[in-house]
Amino acid sequence: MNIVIDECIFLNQFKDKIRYIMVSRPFDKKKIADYIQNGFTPILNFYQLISPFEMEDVLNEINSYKSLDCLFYITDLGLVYRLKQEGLINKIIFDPITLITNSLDAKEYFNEGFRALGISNEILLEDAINIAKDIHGFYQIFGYRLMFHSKRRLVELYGNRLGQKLKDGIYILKEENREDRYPLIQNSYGTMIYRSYLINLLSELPSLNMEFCYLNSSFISSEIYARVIQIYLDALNGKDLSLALEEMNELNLNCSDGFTYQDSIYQKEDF
Amino acid sequence: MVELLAPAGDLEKLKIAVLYGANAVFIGGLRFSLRSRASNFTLDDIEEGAKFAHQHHAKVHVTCNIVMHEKDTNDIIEYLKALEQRGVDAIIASSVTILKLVIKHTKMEAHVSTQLSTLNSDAVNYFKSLGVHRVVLARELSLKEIEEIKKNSDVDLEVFIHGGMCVSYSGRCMLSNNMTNRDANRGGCAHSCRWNYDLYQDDKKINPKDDYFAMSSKDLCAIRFIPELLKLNVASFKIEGRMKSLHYIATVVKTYRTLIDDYEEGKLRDFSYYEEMISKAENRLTSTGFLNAPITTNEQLYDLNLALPSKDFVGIVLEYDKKTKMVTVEQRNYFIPHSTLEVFGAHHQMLISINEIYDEQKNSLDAARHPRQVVTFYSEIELEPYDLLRLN
Repeated sequence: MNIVIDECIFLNQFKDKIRYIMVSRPFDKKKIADYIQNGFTPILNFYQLISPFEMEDVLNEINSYKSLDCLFYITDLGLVYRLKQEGLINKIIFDPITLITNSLDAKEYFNEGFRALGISNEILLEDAINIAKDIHGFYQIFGYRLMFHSKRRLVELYGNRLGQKLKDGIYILKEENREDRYPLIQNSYGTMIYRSYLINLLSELPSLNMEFCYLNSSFISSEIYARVIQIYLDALNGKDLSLALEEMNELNLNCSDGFTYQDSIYQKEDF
Repeated sequence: MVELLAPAGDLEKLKIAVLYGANAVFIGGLRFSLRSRASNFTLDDIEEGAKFAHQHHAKVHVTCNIVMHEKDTNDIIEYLKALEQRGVDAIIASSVTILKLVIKHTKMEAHVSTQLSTLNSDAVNYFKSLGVHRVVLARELSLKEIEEIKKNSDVDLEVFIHGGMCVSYSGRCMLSNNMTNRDANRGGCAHSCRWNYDLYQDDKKINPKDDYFAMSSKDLCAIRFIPELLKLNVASFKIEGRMKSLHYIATVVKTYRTLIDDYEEGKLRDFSYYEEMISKAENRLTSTGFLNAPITTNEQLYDLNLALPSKDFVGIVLEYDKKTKMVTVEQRNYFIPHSTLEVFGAHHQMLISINEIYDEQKNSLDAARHPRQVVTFYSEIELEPYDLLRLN
């Protein structure tokens, strides 16, 4: 199992302990080269659904990194297909976010030759583990999980309606009848909304059979994030799990297990 | 010629869609289908629907488009073969497993569902490499982008022309699942994107006191883009809405049928004619969606109460007795004797005046007030089964 972490200011602390770093756009070539020199393998995050006129630019961007010792995290099937034709398929972690929910589909996609395949967060952990028996799985085990992606720049549009200029950035949504607060990001790829709580699969770590386990840093301070990484590393290195959990609890994070143990409803009729 | 593809939530709607001009209908079976509130079809219903459609030179596509969880994956081949035996022409699926099984084990066409958010020709070409027959494109594409995809791929393409728009990329939304435990990718969408939200930045509320941040999209209406879409030579125009009413389906299908036929015959009328025609169906506010991208506030729905009024649909003709000139009607909304009704049929449209209304026991009624009540009235003009009646 490989732990994947985001770039953070405490990265040097984890040199020689962690190999894979998720690197977000805009990419800094020098920084990426430094990561590689320091023994890290960057995973360049191309989280984007790509319309026809954007494809060549994205391909050019990828081509400028393809000779480096890095992987590409890609969410668009068309981009993946182009990169397969260019012989890069084994450098790709393909994550269609919600769509890998059963082992039959997972095997079909994985047979294309990917380095790993993102497993949906919407399914039972038991099912995710079952899927990962036959493939190299990529799975988010800590942090806020994405639950919505729109091409529309919804905050900007709402601002236009109000006659206000609402820029790209982080916002919070609150449904009128609920107390939950959902982080929202608007950027050039549209609008992304995250769950109101963090997922934390520290207790489940011993049973996870994923190739890549991802600790997402979104909306968490660097200090807390560094502590979380260390707790996970300690647990992986054999530290008593109850002690690790105790340390995690001290961080007072708003964690919940999501669909880990409770499956969603299939075709509910009475609404 | 382009296929006009209509939704059908039950057998009656399937027949209406075909009679009012659809070249094909898409329906859900009892397994593997999204849209739980649509009255999904049993295998016997599917057989009857396929028989009816084929008699009228139309095709039947069955949606098997859920994003399957581990426990949903049993007996797929058996179900697909049963559908084939019942006369189904195509399967719409988002699972590569289902698509491949359709191709390998049946003679039905395999269509890639919009749940896979296909946005570029490279993705289309990936599906072509699997052997699929058609790809339903994502609704986030502009006319120019559709044109570009068409130029660079040679698989049949299907584009949405009318109906509801998910505000998120289809298949990539977990709002409903996270907020209500109802899985949109397995048919349980609670439309959480249409709820009211407060929007904050740095702890400061942005939306005014009497207003909410809303994410909802207006429905798509591509009437003004049909000529340009026709020039692109895509295979199919899709109308969304398996849960919509019979009246909605009849009205929307007939409007697009008229528009497409008028264009093909070189008799295109002013777009306002078709817009007026379609406005008689109950509907939310519409826009041209991404076809005319970029999206502006005009494409967003900020006041969820703003739905366009429909012209009242009061009944459906069951039969006409040429000897007695009595029309038998199944009531769908309140109407009264001595009134003028609009007959909206597959082959004609006119006004008729009615006098007395009778129940099945031939008692004179002061009103047809009971839903699905069978009533009769006299009409000099011959009406046809499946003609719809509206208040004038």
